[in-house]
Order: sequence, then C-alpha cells, then structure tokens
Amino acid sequence: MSLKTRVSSLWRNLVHRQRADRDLDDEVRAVQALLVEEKVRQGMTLQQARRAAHIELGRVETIEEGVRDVRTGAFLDALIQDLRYALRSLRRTPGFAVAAIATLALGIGANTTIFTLLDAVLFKSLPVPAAHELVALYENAPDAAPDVSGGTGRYFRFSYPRFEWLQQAIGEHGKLAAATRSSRFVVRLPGATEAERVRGQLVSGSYFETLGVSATRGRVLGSTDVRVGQVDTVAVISDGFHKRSFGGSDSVIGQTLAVNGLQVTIVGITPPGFVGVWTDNEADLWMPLTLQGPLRYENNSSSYNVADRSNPWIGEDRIAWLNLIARIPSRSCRARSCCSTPPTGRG
Amino acid sequence: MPKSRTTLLQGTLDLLILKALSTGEQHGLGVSRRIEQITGGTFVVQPGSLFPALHRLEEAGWLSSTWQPSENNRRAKYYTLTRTGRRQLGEETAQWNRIAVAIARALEA
Repeated sequence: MSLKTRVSSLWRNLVHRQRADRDLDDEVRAVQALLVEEKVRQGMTLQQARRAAHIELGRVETIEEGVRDVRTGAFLDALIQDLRYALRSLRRTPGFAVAAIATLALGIGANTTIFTLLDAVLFKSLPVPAAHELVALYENAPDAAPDVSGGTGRYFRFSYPRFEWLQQAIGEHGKLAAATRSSRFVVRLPGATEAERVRGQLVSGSYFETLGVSATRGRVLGSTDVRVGQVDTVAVISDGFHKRSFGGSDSVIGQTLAVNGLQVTIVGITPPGFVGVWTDNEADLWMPLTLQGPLRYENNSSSYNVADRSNPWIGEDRIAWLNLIARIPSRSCRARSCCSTPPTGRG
Repeated sequence: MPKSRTTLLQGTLDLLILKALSTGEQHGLGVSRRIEQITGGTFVVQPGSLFPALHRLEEAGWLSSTWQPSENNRRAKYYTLTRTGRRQLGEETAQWNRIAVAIARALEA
C-alpha cells in the first residue's frame, strides 16, 4: 500500500467516519436484501428466505464490526473512541474528575518545580567565564563564637578589615571579591512617583573583575569606585532591570536613581542572564559597599555584641556582613569536576 | 472434499477475490457466489471474512468501488479490479503456483 493510498484511507476512515460507517451499513444491508431475493427465487417464501438469509449472513452489526477492525487506522479509531468515552464518563462524575486532575496537577507541578530548582542550582553553570575557578570562602567556628553559622559550623560572612587582609594574603595567586547577599532596596526611578523594591548587592571594587563580568553598556564597578573614606554614588544595573523598568532605553547611562533616598548614578548594565552568583539570591542592582552608611544598609550581618552598628561598618572588624568569592586560577585544572575544596581563611 | 470454512487462509481468500473480479465487476454477494462457483463448491466464504477482505483490498488500492443499482434496483456497492489489482493477481497466482509445485515435489519425494 503506497503512502498516498494509506493517508487517503486514514483520512476517509477517521475524518469522514460517519459517512464511511453509513456506506458500510448500506452495503451490507443491500447484500442482505439481494440474498433474500436469491432465496425467494430458489423457491422459499419471504419468511423462510429472510430466516435463511439471516442464518447465512449472520448479524449485520457483526459484519460491520469485522470491517471496522481491519480498516486502516483501526487502532487510532479505537483510541479516539476510547478517549471520547473517557471524556463522557468524566463529565458524568465531575467530583472524581476534579480529584484526579488535581492530583495529577499537584504531582506534575511538584516534579517540575524540583527539576527546575535542580537545573538552576546544579546543572546550569554560572554565566561567567571559567566558573569552576570561583570558590566561596568560609571559616570554621572559632571558640566562643556568636550565633553566626546557622548551626553549620561554617562562617560565610566576614568583616571588611578581614576581607582586606585576605585580599593581601591571596596576593598574586587569585582575586578576591566581597559582596552582600542581595536584599531589597527602596528605589525610585527618575520621573516616577512611586517607589519599587529592587534587589541589590553592595560589592567590593574587585567584584566584577573577579567574576569576569563586563558591562554591555557603560562600565562595571572597579577599584576606583570603592575606596575607604570615599562615597561614590554609582550603580550598575542588570539587563533584566534595564528592560523591565527602563524599557531598554538607550539613555539610561548617566541617569540617577534614588536608592533608599540616596541619589546614585547608573554607570553600566550587565549582560543578560547575569543576576549575581547565587541562584537563590538574585540581584538587579550593584553598588559600592562604601555606600553602606549612606544607604543605611543593615542586612546580612552578624556581630559581637560589643560592635557599634550605628557607625559605618567598613571599618568595623567585629561586624561580619560580607560574603567572599575568590577566583583561584589553576593551571592544570580545566574541567569542572577536578576542583574540589575551597581555601579557608583563618585569622 | 468437505466444504472448508475456517481453514481458508487470508492470503488465499485475497487471491480468490481478485480472481473472481477479474472477469468483471461484482457486488459482495456476487463475489461470494463466484468464488463458490469457480472452486466447484469447495470454498464457501463466510460473510464475516468476505467483507473485511473486500474493504482491505480496496484500501490497498487493488479494488475500486462504485455504487450502482443492483438486480432489484436497490443501490449496492460494486467492486472492480484496478490496474494494480490486476498486476497483483498475476503476482499472487505465480507465487501460488510456485508454492504448489514445491509442495507437490516435497510430497512425492
């Protein structure tokens, strides 16, 4: 059977099913009538002929079933009939239908969520070059330490002076960056009457250099923007934030935002897909960590009780508020799997 | 020889149907009677196998059908052999003869 014949048969049998069935019925009944006449011609009475014809032919429905079974697309046809029946039955018992659909939806939803999470956290790699060279720093609990580790025994936050010390310790072997976990800032766009909350991070001047992220427009923050004793009111925004709140307009570089009441100037936009290094803690705004005081930023910190939190934190060695990320290039280590333990710092 | 009912293979039925229609068009009953006639009454085709076979052969493209008024002026479905059907008849006849010769030889050996 050629493909063309097969397709046209399938078309007739499925799409014009009713007509095909009607024709079949006409055909079989016509033969039935002819059979009766044949027997009448042979000498039977009409009644006898009818009965004999019935015996010889069998039930018309049975013959028609037999033909339907061998039709091209019989399997598909049966499937469609079954689906129709299933739908009709479901409509008759809506309670059951709702329960079944809800259960399936819940199961599928839960599965999708978990795999999406897994994909974001485990399978996708960071949109930065040589992501396997990046490590997060933590130190082990010193004795008599305050409640900073969340029970893990690992301290992921460092004070600024400690960050500087570690930066010197790494020296030429790598780069070290400091960043706060993202938190929401109250941001008012130029010309807007209402403020919105935007997730942002305060970062060191080495942040973008360590990650290897450059701006698609303007520039990213560098070491000149983050110096102790200076207040550089600059900011870098994400591509998503640029598209969402500025409509992707070309004139955004140089515009000022009011962040927690402080006017900062936008100097650059990061590439699409970059939202910081933590998939569970995305950010759309990056500002120098020297702005911690002017912004009245008070998140992501832990301290010994003796620390004075009202002063700018940049000089405080007892307020641990910065997460550290290092890039340790390895000459031999190329594949993601071969880099293992991160270096730990101990003072 | 006893009248064979269920032992007629599908392939053989197809061959007989094609042969029965080689002389001219016929409706379902006519095909059945013709097969009885040309086999000398040996094979009586069951309607349950005849109709599916006719439809299958038509879908395969070896038969074509038209609706015409029958002997009693009621419209019935008449089947004819198509050109590919005629070619198929030739091929299946040749194959049947090959099989028959082979089996005959095997039985004589």
